[in-house]
Amino acid sequence: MKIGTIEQAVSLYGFEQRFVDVDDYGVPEMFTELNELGIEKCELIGSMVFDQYPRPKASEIAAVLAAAEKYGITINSYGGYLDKGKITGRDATDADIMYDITADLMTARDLGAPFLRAGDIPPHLLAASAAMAERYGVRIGIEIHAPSKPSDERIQQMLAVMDDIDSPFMGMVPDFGCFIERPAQPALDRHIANGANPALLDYVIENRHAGLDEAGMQAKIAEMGGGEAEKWAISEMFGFLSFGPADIEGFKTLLHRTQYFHSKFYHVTEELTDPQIPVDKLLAAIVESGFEGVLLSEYEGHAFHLDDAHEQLERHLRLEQKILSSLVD
Amino acid sequence: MPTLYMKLPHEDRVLRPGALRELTLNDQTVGFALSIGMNYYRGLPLSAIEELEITVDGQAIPSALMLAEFNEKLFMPDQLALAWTEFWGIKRYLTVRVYNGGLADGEHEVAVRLILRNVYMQFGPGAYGMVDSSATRTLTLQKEN
Repeated sequence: MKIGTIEQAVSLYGFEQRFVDVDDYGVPEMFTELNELGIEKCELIGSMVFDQYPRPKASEIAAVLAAAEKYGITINSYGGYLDKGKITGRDATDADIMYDITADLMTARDLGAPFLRAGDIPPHLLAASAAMAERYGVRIGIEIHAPSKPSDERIQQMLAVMDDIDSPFMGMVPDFGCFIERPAQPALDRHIANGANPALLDYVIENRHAGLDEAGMQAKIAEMGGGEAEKWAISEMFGFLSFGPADIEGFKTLLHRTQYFHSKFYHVTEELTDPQIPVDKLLAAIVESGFEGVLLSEYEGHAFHLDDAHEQLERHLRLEQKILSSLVD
Repeated sequence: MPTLYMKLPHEDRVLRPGALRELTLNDQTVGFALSIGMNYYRGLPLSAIEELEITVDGQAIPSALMLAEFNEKLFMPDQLALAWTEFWGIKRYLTVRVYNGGLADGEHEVAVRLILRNVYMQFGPGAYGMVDSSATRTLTLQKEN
């Protein structure tokens, strides 16, 4: 589905719950779901889908390509990682990092993907990575992911290096999970079902930005009687479910280096609203920038033990269509 | 900072109903084999295994009695940390052969403590997040044909 200059796509990561739990649910089944959603482009995550990583077997790549052809799907982006801790007792060296990047570029090219979603490449390796990406004809996008925010000094320094390099083969993939304004209710419900005390969760939410770091909050809640369930909740709220005022102005500074977007979401209501992420403001900024490219819906509600990816993606795509249509008319 | 503690909702994959099998040689029961899955969303190298402990009916299995089998290769438990080129795909299983002389027929409470280094989630030098893939299930010993 294309609206104006923006094309909708879907990350197969959103089907993670069923992919992991159901033995005979694989790439062809996920492509079938894309057909049903009317989506032709996707992101495929290598370490989730393949039995061999960072370089999958040729037979695994061939199987994905055969399914893609059968279902009329193209791989917009290949989801790669920097597995910096894979060698026990040793952090990745620069050479190790370039090895991982090169392996992922090879696979992206094999899959016909124009983009590689890359891990956190250190600034001093961005130029070398861009050069390697150009050799493979694959554009790298470094994911800007929660708990980072676009205005963070680290992200702005990365942006400055990218501006110096000024290569179309090196850019960013902002993830909308950076803009969570409040915890999703399904997340809280899960922790409460897990035994967390709602009053203690309320305390964490109210005081999330009151000066305590994660360790400090863990200690405080333990003092207040919290246990394991609260520990998991705090860890999420300081990690991938970090929340706070949405950094929209910071987001705008990244747009000229953006390869495509991860339109992350956790829960869209029946009325087509996203109570966690200000998707309307983000899409308005994207349209205003004149961006041409892919907006990739990435469902992560399975983090709350939910197996409702198809229904949620259908809602999210419609929500984006509604907002984008109003912006481009 | 990334999430420190990761325990995803795929615990049923760690110990499936048919995961505990009798191990026989020359018609003699010599032990059991346990098939172990991972509770995570992506695969990890075998070297990411930081802790692997098996307890059956409250009795811890000494690691000297175990051999892990993966990709048609055998590893002593201590060797797993070195196996960084062996990728444990999320839909695959690690088989641990335990040469303890066997288990009684019927049900057993099997506990696996499996802690994996989250190899891409680095906090600082030498510091990584951990994936808790532990599980406890009551399993029925599957007999050899």
